[in-house]
Amino acid sequence: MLVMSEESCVYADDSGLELGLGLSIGSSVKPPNVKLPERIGSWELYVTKLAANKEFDSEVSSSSSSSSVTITGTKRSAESLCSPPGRSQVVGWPPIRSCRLNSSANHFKPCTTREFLSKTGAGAKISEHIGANRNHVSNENEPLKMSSFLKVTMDGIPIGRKVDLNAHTSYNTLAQSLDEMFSVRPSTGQNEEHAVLARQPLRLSDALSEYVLTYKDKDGDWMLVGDVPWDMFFNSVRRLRIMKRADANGSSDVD
Amino acid sequence: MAYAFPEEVLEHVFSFLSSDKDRNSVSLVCKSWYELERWNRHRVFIGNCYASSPEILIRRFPEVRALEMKGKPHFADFNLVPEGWGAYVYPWIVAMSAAYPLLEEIKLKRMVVSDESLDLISKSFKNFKVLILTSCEGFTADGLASIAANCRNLRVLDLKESDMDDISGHWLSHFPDSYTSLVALNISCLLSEVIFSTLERLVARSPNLKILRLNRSIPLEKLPNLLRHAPQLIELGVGSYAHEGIDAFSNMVSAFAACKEMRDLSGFWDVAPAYLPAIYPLCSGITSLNLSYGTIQSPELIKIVSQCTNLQRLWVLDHIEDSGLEAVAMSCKDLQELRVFPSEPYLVEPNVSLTEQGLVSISHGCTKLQSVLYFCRRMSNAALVLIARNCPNLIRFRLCILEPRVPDYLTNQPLDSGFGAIVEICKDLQRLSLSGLLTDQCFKYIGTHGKKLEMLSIAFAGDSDLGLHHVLSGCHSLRKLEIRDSPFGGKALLANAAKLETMRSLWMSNCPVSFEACKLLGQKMPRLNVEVIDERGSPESRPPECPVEKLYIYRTVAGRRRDFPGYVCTINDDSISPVIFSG
Repeated sequence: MLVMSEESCVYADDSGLELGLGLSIGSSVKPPNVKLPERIGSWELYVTKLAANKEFDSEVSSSSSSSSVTITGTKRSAESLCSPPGRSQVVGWPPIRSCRLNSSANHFKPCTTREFLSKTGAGAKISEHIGANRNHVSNENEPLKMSSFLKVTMDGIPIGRKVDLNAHTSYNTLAQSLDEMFSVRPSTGQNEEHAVLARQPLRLSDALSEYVLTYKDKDGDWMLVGDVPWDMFFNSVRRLRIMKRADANGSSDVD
Repeated sequence: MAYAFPEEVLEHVFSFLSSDKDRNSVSLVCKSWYELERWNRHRVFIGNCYASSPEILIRRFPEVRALEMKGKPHFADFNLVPEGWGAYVYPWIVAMSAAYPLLEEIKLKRMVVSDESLDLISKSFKNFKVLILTSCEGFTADGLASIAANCRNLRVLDLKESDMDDISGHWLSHFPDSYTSLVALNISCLLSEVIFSTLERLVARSPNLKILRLNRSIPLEKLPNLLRHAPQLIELGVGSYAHEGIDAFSNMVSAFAACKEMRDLSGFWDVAPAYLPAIYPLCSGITSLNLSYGTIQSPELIKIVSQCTNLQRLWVLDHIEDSGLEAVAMSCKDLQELRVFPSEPYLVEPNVSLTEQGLVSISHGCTKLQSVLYFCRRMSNAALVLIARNCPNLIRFRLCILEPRVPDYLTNQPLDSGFGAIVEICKDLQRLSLSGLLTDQCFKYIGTHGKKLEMLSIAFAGDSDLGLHHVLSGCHSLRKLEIRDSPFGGKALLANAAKLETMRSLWMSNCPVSFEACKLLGQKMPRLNVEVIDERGSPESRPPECPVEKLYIYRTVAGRRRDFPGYVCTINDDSISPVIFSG
């Protein structure tokens, strides 16, 4: 039941770096024990800060009784953070166009929530968000994951990115992924002013960060990421935007 | 020996040549034929926008009326090409706005089309008739509003599968009341709402409307209103096909009954099975049916397809199951194209009873089958051999076994011999997509027998460079090769470097091709653009033996492109000076 065999995705080279290539784009999945390039130093800093953040802890624990799924960052070490969150998903496989997946994803999202909730034990207050899906045939034992690529833009960077929301089960892994996406590119130096990693762009981790992560929900409103339980966020998010904190505070749409 | 043939006669003869291949051959005969032909070529197809440039196009063909062009590599459809890669149409539009005032048609695939581009199109070409944007992105409602407002002679506006995420539907109201020449409208990918009355008025004043593909937001109960204005429709894409209400059904029935010319049905999101019988009266006339968006269970599907005796093309979800495909095999003897998509692509255990048997049944019953795209969870060599024997006229065969590297489920062997049979027996095979467990032997078969193969897609397959070498050295007609997650390195590429210049493009991602090999290839082949896509930062910052993330190689007469983002590194012979885009 192999999705990615090690020999095709990890190439050890003489410098001692092991690079996991196949799963790096758009997802937070990494092979275990991977030694990532220098900039990961600030990763550990970010994770330590996350661990120290009581606010994040209490927000998440209110939505789930079992903490193992969502609080991966706080309870585990930095190394085990790198292991895949459940069944790993290969980018772009199976080869189905996103518009086709998204059209049926609207069918199935409620069931994904149901699956998630049955795993974590919470359910009562979220249940009204689950729409009836009479046509859906589900297998109770398999985690349902439909690819849903979200557009992510960052203020000041003209090129947007896409992140696969289904590769994440918590704000933590999403934050990780976004940090990597928008981090410094040593060669071009284009993003030097936007070295996001050093600044931990998410409100969740650091109230002093220069950047905040916001999202557009299904009603078209821009909200701060982290206010609602993950599953609610998962269902209603339509787009992501990394804004400068100064702009976010000044804007009447956010908060 | 010079022929004293008047130019007018030659021109007249050339006007009968529709195939680009023929026209290209004609151009090579002599200088005067080259000159004559180029002044008379009105339709141009550019398979890779970076293989040429606007200047080169305009310099050679001064009288172009229709341009068809493709941009990003095919794997961009599956999110393997990062955002901002390129394929901007704007420089082309700028150049053509000056050079081709009589331009009538633009068809683009996988290109970035900005609002500025659409605005410029709408204002530059007075006789503009056809705009088809397939899998394009970058435009908003404003750009579409320009097209609607300014293109008085527009016949076709087709936005199939384009990214229309944030686009509201208000642009439809920009078609002036005096505009009545619409023939085809495809807004099926528009996610947001459309003001129905605007759409209804547009349809009502378009007597030549033949093709109408609605988006999901159009509810079933409104459909009869539209159809009443357009009983002459040949192709219809319905919106959401679910409604609560009794009279909706009888309205649907009478509306459909009036459409005597209907040949093609699609759409059908959110299907309420009770309303499906409304389409039964149309079934015998239908030649193309796309039911791959909504969930329709097998019994309902069987009832429909059993009546579609003239069906040539069928796209469905795997809810149809093996039993449904058996019904298709019995009833649809003219079937030429079948596509079966997975309803739950990420489930490991099957949710429906669709196996290789379904495809085998089809191959038994539908001997005219030419084109297959089949997603399933298991396959056997025996089944593939049967399919090949039953359908020797296959032109396109794309099989996707959902889990990578899955062997023959009966014998646990690789699927080499099965695919080998496909390439050996189907002598006219032009396109092949592989999946399942495959060794270098499979590629040996392909190299030996796939002489007409033009496009090959490989994923999680093969053992070594030898596999790639078989393909590159054996497939003489190969134009497009795309490979992901397979153990092919630079050796086969370097050994077959000259072959790459005979192809349109090669894509390799997550394969062990070193940056060193890329550099060597780029230096060796000046007319190839070797582009390394690596989001980890410049490949120069790592040891040269380190594999690159993604590699895109294509032949070009335009030199190195200038519009690439930071994560693309282009390697080329420095002595070739690139053509600068104007505008």
